[in-house]
Amino acid sequence: MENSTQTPNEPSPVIGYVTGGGLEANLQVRLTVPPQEVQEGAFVVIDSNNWRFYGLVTDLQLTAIDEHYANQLNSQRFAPHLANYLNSQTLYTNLAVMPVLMNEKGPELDSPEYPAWRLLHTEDSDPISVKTIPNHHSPVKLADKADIADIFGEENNQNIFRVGSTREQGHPVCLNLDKFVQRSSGIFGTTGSGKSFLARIILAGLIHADNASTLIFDMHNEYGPDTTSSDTKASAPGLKGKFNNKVRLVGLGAGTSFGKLQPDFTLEIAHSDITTEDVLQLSQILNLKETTGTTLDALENEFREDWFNAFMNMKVGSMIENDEGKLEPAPDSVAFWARQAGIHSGAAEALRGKLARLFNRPYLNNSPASNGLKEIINTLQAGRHVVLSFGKYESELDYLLVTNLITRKIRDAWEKATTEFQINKIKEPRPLVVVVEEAHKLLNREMANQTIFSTIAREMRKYYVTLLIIDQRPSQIYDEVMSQLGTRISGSLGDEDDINAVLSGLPGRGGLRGMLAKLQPKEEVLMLGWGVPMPIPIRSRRYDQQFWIDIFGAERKPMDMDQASSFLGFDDDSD
Amino acid sequence: MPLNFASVEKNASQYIEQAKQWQLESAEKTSQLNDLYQQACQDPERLKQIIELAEESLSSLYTAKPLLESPDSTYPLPAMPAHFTLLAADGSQIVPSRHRALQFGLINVGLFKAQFGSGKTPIIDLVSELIDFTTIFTDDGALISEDDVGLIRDLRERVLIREMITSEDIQPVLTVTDGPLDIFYRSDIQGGKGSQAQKMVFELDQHMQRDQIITAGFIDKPGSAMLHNMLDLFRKAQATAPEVSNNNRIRISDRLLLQNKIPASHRSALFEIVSKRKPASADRLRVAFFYLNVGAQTEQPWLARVEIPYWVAQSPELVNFVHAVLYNDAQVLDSHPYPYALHRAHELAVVRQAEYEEVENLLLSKFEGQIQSFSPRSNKDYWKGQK
Amino acid sequence: MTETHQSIPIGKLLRAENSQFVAGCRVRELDTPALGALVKVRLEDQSEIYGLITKILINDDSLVRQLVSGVSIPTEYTADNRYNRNLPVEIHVLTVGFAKDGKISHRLPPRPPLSLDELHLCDEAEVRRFTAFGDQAYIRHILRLVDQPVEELLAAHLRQTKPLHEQTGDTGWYAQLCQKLITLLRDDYPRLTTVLDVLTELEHE
Repeated sequence: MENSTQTPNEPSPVIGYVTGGGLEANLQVRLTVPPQEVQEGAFVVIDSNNWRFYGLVTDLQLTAIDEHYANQLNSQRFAPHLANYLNSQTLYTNLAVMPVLMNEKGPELDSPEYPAWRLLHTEDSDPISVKTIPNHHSPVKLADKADIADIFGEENNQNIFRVGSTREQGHPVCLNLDKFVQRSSGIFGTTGSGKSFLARIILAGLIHADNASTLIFDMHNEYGPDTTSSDTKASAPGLKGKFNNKVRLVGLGAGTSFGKLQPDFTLEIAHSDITTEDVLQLSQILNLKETTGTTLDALENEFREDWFNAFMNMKVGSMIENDEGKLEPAPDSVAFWARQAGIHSGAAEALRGKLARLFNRPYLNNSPASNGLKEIINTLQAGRHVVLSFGKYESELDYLLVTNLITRKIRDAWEKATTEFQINKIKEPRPLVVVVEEAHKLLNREMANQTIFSTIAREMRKYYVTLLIIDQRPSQIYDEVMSQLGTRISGSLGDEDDINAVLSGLPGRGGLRGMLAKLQPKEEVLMLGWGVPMPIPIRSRRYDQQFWIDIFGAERKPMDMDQASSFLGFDDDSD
Repeated sequence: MPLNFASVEKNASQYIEQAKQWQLESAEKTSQLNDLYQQACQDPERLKQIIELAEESLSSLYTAKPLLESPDSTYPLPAMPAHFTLLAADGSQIVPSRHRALQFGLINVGLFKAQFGSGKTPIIDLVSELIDFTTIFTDDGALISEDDVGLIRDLRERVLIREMITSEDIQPVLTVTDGPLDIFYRSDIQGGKGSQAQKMVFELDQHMQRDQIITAGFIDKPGSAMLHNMLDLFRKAQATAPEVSNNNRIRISDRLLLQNKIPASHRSALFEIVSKRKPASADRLRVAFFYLNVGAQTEQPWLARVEIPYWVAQSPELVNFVHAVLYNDAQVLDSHPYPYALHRAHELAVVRQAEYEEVENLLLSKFEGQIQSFSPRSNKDYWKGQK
Repeated sequence: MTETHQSIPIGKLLRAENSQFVAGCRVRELDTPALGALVKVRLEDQSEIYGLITKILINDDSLVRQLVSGVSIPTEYTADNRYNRNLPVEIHVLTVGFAKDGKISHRLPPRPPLSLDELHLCDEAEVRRFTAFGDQAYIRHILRLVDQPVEELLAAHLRQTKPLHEQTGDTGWYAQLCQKLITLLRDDYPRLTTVLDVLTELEHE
């Protein structure tokens, strides 16, 4: 447990008082402590007339009651003690505080009005979105542990999951994982911002809480197997190792393995599983022409599900001599088929040529040994989690094809289950979170209308499927999708467009922009959006040995030394 | 009620006419006197004899008699000694009034003593004395007059000023008071009281002479016409001189006669005052005088008369001392020359109306309700006091 | 009733209003009161009105004017005018509080003093008691002045009063006063900096 610098029972000291401002323009607070004690993004509470307001510090400004006092070095002009008195009375720091929530807390427990108030308010209320403002001169304090628990929930190592702690005092801040998965969400940050570690933490949390299943497209083999951090050279345990029973590690392509770690099963995709939509979504990367659609339609019309295999078997430029001794397309040629299908042969040949890259993907098989896809779907529906590691197939083409294809299948399955449930009311579908990295490749403007991902994002869990996108270029993601995201957790972002993208769709949050720009890489993230009661910058939890102790600590059965040390990641032979 | 200016104006032109006529005749008389004066000064011995003769033969006389100096001579300002003592005394009074609730008299004497050359702060004093109740009534039971009170005050001034002199005072010592040295012509005091006062003054001066303390009287705007009288006597003795104008009421003052003859800071010749009244008295102070132009510039002459005891006039040294000191002291207030010391004494002595009432209240309060024998303030007086 | 047997009489009241009054005194006594000194007047009902000397005026009269414009004056006569003559010297006093039945207040008194009431210089104990009372609100009155340099008066007052508190070990008095001045004047930058400049100079003296 990260240490907080404050014991729970100590009341938080007053750091200032409200002097002006309002709902639209933020509250102005005069600081009564040195400015270095408060940071941008600090979570503060303001009490006024039985209400407690919760807000974020979005700006600090040095002010003076008269500019002259600020412009002149009082300590040089006047005797030292006079200068000190003068400075303390004329020079101030002003905080801009963005009020977000408010809650009716009632008078102090030991005040005479309390019993009467208690009669009227028999139950403790929940915080609501701020609708009014505190009075002038209301005292402002840094939020204490209890305030944060009031807002973000008390950590229960299940669905109220600690993702980090406040920057000033280290109070734990939790994410409500149930809410988190109710909408598509995003984890953002530049490369090296600690985005992957954060993702691992959250995924660990999701898996551990087990209220939804997760399908993780592990493009770079980061999540499933153990990895070594390029910076620290320390080993980072993988999810498979930690959640052995809950997580199925699937390798793309037969024979894929991850060092010592064997996948639970491998995935080969049958040719018959590939639809023309899947191919169309690769238009950009394969540089397909506009005519592709027509050609594919024709193929599908003729060959139904076998169109891919059939097309693959067609040869380009295959000629035979005909009866007249002239060369004409052989019956197994593309041209031959095109002609008889009424398709421009050149276009068809060109298409065939471009699709060659696809055809030779080793994990595509006409008749795969097992139905990996079905296995994946079953696993997920059974309540487990799947990490699909791409092994050596790290190209963009692979990524686009596989993620789209699988996701489409899965979503269809879920759609079907949902429809059945709506009729029968028997088996409610298990919520599913599809985790994709490099989301800008899948969800950019050009592709937005074509990918299944944008559909899922827009559907908003109509069919119990949401996304968790992990990306370093949110500005490249179609902003309609970005604006549909619920929770956003962002590490440091350098680009202004990226910052704006993360804030897309959220009501006027100007102060947050600055906060986003100043996050400490690898250390700090900003949580905001639909799933989070209020935006808050936090010091992210560390993905280390302590993390795993905290996750499993209370539930662990006694294990022997080997088990224990291996569990804790102290493997001698892990790199 | 405001004046009836209309009727005043009716008389005004007549008044102006009469005044102009008087002025004309005065000018003429002055010119005649000037001629006489010139004549007389040609033979000062003779002039002196004429006066002495008159002194013997006439029973009543008031005139100037030249001393050793030629009557038309003037003397420039001598040097002042570095160290000397100057004393001045002046007083004011409250005269008993039958209109007031209480009858009382009060004299207030201011005293000023400066030790020149010492750098020390001058000493000041103020003596305020209630006149004895029995003294405020005359022999025939009436309240004493202003003149009576004045006499009492005058005498007190001289005594007090004498008492202010100590053996430590730097010599020479000069005391100065405002007004003639001889008490006689200061009041209409007749009879015993008058001669008693004269005797006192005489004896006081005797003491002063013994201690070589010079007393001087300073008269700021002298109106006496002693020289006029002297010239009249001279004229009478000249059988041949023509009659001057018949208007004996026009008396040309000495000041007017001499003012163009004495340059600034100069003094005139010394004269003796010859004054005889029936009956003559024995112990009487012999007084000499000179006129002093206290002005700073000859074009604006301002003549004051300085009276000194006869014995002082005998010593040129002492006369120079008096001349120098009084002229310089008057120059301290050079815009309107008047001896500073006398001014200060006067300033000290002034009684304000408010103080008058305070004294009255003080006395009344001391009676503690036992004032049956006294009448309240007269109604007439009461209404005068109302605004 | 506050102890006054040690307070020195220094003049009599000429005229007064609630917020200020003027006393007249003789030249000789000018050795005693100084600008910024704490003085008091006792009224008939034994209450006392406190004030600070803001101005000492030495007026002329016709005699002095004559002497000044005339020929050179003998030393003795200069001395005469300085020490013998009742030259009207006016001591202008700013009311800063009052005391009734021994209870001090830093507000303006309900009634001004009457003419001819005697003006006393307060002794050290009294100065300490009055200036340390409450939160030193009497300073407010000084800041009211518009026709006089406030900082000079403050400096004069502090030069006399600060050592009195330091003698008894009360170092907090001055600190508190400085802070109060800043609080009262901080919205008037030019005035406050002038005052602080003077206080700084004072501390270097």
